[in-house]
Amino acid sequence: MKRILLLTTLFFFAFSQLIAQRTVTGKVTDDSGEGLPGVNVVIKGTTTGVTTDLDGNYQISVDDGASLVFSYVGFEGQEVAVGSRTTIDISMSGVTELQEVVVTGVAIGTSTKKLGFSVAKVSEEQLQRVPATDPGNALRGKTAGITIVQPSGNPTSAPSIRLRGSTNLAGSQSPLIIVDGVITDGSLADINMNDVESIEVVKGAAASSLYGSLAGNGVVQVITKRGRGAKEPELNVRAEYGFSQIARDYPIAERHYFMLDGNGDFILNSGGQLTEDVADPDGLMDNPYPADLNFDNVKALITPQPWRNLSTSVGGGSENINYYLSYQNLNQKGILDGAPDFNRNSVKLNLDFSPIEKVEIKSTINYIKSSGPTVREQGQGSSNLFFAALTFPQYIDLTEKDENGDYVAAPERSTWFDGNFSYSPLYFLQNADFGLERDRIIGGVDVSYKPLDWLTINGAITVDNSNERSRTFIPKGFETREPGSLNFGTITMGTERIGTQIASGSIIAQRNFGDFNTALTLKYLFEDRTYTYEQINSSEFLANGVNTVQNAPQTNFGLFNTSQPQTAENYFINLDIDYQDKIIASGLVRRDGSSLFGSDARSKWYYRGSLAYRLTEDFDVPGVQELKLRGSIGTSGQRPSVWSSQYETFSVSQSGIVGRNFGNADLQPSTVKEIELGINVAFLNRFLFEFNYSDSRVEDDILQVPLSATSGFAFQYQNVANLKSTAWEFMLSGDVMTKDDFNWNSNFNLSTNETIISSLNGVAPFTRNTNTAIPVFRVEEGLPYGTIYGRDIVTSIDQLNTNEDGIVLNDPHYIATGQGATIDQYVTNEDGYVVREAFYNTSNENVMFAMDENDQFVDKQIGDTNPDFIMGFGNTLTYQGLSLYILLDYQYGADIYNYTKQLLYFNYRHQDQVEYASVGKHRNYSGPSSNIYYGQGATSHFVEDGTFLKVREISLSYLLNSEQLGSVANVIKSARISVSGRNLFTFTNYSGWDPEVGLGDNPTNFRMDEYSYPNFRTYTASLQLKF
Amino acid sequence: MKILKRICLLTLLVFAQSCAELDVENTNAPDADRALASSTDLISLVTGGMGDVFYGQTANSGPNHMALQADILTATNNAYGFWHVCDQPRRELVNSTGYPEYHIFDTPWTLNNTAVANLNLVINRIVKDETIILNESGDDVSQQLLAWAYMTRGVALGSTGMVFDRGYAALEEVPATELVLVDFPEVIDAAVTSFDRAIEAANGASSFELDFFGNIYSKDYFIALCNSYAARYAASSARNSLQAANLDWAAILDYAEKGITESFIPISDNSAIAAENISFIESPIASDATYIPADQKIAWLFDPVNMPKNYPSDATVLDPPETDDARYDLYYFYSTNFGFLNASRNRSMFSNMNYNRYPELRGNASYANTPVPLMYAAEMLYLRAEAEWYLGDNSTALGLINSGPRSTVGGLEDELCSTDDCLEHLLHYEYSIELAHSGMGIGWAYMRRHDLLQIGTPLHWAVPARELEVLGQEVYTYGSPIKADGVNTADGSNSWTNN
Repeated sequence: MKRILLLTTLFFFAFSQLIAQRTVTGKVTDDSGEGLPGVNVVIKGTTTGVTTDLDGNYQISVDDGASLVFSYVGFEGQEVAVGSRTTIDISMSGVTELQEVVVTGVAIGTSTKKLGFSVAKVSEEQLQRVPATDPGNALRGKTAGITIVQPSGNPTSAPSIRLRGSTNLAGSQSPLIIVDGVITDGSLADINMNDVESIEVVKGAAASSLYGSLAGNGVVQVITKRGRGAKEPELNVRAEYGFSQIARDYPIAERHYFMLDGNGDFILNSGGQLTEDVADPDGLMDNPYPADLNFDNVKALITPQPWRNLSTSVGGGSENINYYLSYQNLNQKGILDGAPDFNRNSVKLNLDFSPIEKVEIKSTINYIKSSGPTVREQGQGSSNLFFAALTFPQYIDLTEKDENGDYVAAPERSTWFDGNFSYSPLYFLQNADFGLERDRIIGGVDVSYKPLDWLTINGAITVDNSNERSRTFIPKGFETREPGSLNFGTITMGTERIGTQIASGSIIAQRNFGDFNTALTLKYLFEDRTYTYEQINSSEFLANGVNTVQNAPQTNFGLFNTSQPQTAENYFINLDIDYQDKIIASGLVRRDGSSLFGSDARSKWYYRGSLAYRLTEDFDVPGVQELKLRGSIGTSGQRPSVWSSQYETFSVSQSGIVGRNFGNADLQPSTVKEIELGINVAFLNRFLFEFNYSDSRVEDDILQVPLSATSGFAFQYQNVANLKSTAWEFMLSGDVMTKDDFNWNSNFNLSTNETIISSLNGVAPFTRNTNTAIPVFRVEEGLPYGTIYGRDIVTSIDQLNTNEDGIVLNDPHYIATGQGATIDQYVTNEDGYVVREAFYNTSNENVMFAMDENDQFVDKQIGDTNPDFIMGFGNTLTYQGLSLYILLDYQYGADIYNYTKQLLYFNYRHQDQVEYASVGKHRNYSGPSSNIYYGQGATSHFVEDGTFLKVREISLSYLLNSEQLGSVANVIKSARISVSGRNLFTFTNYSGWDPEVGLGDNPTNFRMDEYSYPNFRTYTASLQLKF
Repeated sequence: MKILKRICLLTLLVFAQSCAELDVENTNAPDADRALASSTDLISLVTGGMGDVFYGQTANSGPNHMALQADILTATNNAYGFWHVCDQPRRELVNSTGYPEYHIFDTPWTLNNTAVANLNLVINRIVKDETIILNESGDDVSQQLLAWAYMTRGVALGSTGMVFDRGYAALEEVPATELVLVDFPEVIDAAVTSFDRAIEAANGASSFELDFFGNIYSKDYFIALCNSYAARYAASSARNSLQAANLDWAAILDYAEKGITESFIPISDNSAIAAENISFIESPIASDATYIPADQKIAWLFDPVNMPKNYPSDATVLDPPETDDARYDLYYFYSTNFGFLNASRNRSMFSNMNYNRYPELRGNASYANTPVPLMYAAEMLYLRAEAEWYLGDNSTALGLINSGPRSTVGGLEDELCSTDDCLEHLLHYEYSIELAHSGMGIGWAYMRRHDLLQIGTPLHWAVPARELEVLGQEVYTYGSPIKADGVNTADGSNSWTNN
């Protein structure tokens, strides 16, 4: 708080230094009336000049008789005599239409043509064709170098985003999220897409150096509308209704292996169950379900559900004020009947005004209230609805209801099933209460004061505070098939609070010296963050129908809380300089200090240097309007992802004290150093092309290093890992065809990147479980980050190991019994696996694992989750008011570990096993005792190619103009009617519901399918009116 | 320029003054200064280690897997790796940090070794630094705490030496930085030394009691307990009959004779210790089936005439065994519900027997006020018998066996045969039935020192992969018939399954 007071004092001190001078003010706009930032305004014949601000406004002191020269990259320059005027507004025409200004990664708003590094900008037009539910999903396929994975279809969840390669082995890969200059700590899921004007993406460390240790993963900034340019209030109303549904069927087994009687009915064992005792001796999974006992439980649980998005906004302004006010209600039920809706209400106000001359105040505030279900994914048993839907046999009707019309806990025949059945998932949905509510405020105030034409003093305060409450309540009397603890009821309530307050102060000096334009920025940031979490729980309720924690014996209470305050302060100095707008250089130095760093390593330095040359300023290239070559080198980093990393900690409980974390006073943030080279080309007056090559090296990445048990501590966090990434990106956009009223606009992007673990500095390689069901992801020097590790099934005779007698050592039958066979007694079966010929299509047929040269079974690389490349291809075809938009999203080559399939094999519930039976394979081949299943261990059999082509967004819309609107045109300026689809089609060979899976800590690197809420498609129709 | 100078001054002022306070205290967990600031903290460190070590004795991870290896339990359920360790023929153990059930090996290793490091910290404070430990009443309890620490360290080292092929002989005089992995006999020697020092410290205390998580034991009992554990681990050092024959049975007999005469079964206070192993074993699948059934061996031991050693692989369901041993009804129940046993995974591993000695632990997740059987007094009787047998007095050995629960609880008549084979079988019976689940791995240890394990059963476990990776050593493992060398993996030369 002292920082904030100091900054405020300094600001007012500077403010008091106001010196009255005669000034000329004005606004520079483009042909469409939008303000142009960064325009050079120079007094003719002098080196005195200023640059327009983000909205195109400028202010300059002049003498009588002076003339002003306006120049701007890509626009025709103008010279205007001032005369006696004090306000001069200028409209500039572009020599090309290829012009963008960015504010992310740069100290001041900058034209992309004057950038020495890549900053991608996704425009409102691209974003609003089919408005996504959040900005994360909106970025899909629209620019290169972004990996986005929506690991769960749960409407409450947000997609995971990674920019270029991975930058750490243990923390988050998510970029820094900024909303209108507010550095946030939450997800993008809370942002109303209808508010968004554009999204800027800073992908590499070279560009993100400005944010130092906050931005090793890059930066995504969401820029919302501010009501600029509208002289009259403009009211927008948009209503979109539709529904969501599952896009694909799951290949579950339609056959079983139990004996049937002459009537085709099941034969139960003496205990009234379907167990091994009554298994069909032929061992084939080819017996049909009795016609009256064949229920489709997947369709019973997963059903089409409504979708709704209502929004309205009003924006406008005058000379000294701009405002934008909006409200949105988004409601979607996903695809689970009976689960709570996801409901989000958002109110946003952007207000900019100039109370006095030379002072401008910009403010933003966004309040979001959302609620939704917390659906259990991963794991086995009835509580995982998707496990239940896929695993419980078809002879159980999960939709069975009692005489009151309520779902029953244990439907008829559920006792036949000897597996992990506790209750019907539909009964659970009806009787349990589970979900979360979140309140969030994102806001900030930014005050700018221009004491001199070339000098700006700025102070800002921003906040991002969220409060999330989660609950799980199972009432007393909850029924289960077998008596259990759930019958007595249980409640768990958690409250998570995240608070981020940031105060900053900056001084910006912009001056022109002859042919040189310069901008010097000094900035200070103070961060104050707090994370708290509290959880209470109890069980075995005393009274029915009461859902309070105290409704239980005190001995059954559980409590947990943690508080994690954090402070940081950072400075940077940045100098931008260019010569005649064609040779552009920039330099930055930043110092970060954070309480997260070890006590002996409290600060860290970062830097950036960039250079660009606009070739076409010196040379005429036929058909090329702009050709820029650029290169940059810079560093950013990542703070320790675990708050307590640096601290020595002991676990203290009633039973005693035990050492946990050894502590590390020298712990420092990682360094991500990147060299980026790129080319920007504007050609044929309608196309833009961009190419980027990036070489990124991560040093001092933080890992939790296990210690020898003799140390008395379990682990220590150390700066030990190094990574190396390379990325190639290509982007091409423009109008493919324009003829009369027809226009075809395309946006194509392609990128590839690979991250290799270059060093672990002595830490042993390990196979990790990143909150996934089984540990399959390998961390080892020289391997790509995302390597799937496990047993490799032998697919070629020459992979077999033999002993001196020629006996094949890989054979599990030999290992178990000592009865071996020689190499000529093996064949390759239908799956391409080598098996012993004598056992082919018998109960003993079993695949074999590869061994090393020492005849030892070893785990090895069996897959790689990194795609070879990803591609986005958006097309908009417009004819008069009719517009068709299609966005294709293609990913080639990412492997997925299909654990869902593995467990379905265990339960004899996968369609593969029916197909095995069709060629005569005994169920033992793929069952629980098989090497294919391998006791839940990882095998190459369950590694699948996750290549997909998705029709991400498709929309057909018609814009009614004022003529067509007829008599209502006086009120309604325009109306757009659209029908849209999201995630409509997926073309893939992946066998699961959807190849976009990856529950766990890091969905962009670790792709494991484990009974997750499947992603779904959405159909909608919308009407948008402008008043 | 005046204004420019002022701005520059302001800038410098901002940068000079902006040294924010970046030291944030961690109030969620204490560091060493706060955790070990007082006598109470050091006492807590010892009780914390005690909790870890004795929890490890009765955890699911480890003890139940050793009972499965010893055919005291059976499973075809792969949860927690149960099936992995008892499948027939035996499999090679997967000692890999990538193995989902790696906790089997890591739990006993980490619990014991981490505790030893913390216990040595306290021991050195008392022995080297001469720190005086005061209890809440202000009494000097340094020697008492030292005795607790030595005793707990003895159990930790003994368990490590008993289960793993190598370990750290971490006596307090060896700096932690100089510890290297040594073979199991050295680790067990260090354990026995620890018990000797515990007894010495207890005898040196002006007043003494063992507060074992609310269960109070006298000095005499504590000393008897130390002798008992010394006897258990000294005998458990042998991996095969050859090594067993070379043990110092006279010393073992001496320890056992000074051992407990009342069973060590504290009551759980629901915080540190609990019979998690038995709770898992007895956990109901239905009203008439348990999570981890007793092995068919138990039925065969009760009724070797009618019961096969392995369950029939066809659809036959066996009748209950016929026996005069009252412990059959006291400790087990018969059921035709096979629970999670899966015929497709080998029906010969089925069983109708279910352990039920502690019904209060059945499905009890809270463990409050439940017994924690850590050592039965009968174990000392059987160790004495075994020692007498090895020392050549078969008759005394038989007398000791006959005097125990076999007659006092089971109501069986005295056995008359005192041949080596008879004594071996009688003790096998008692370790499998009477002593089952009362100490980590004691049934497995008895069987291996008499070569009774099935071929392919590991005779000890490799150092867990995580520790080897930290040390930069190659990961290895044991088990499976093709590795049966009789030194690390059972060769089945005297397997109980042999005819």
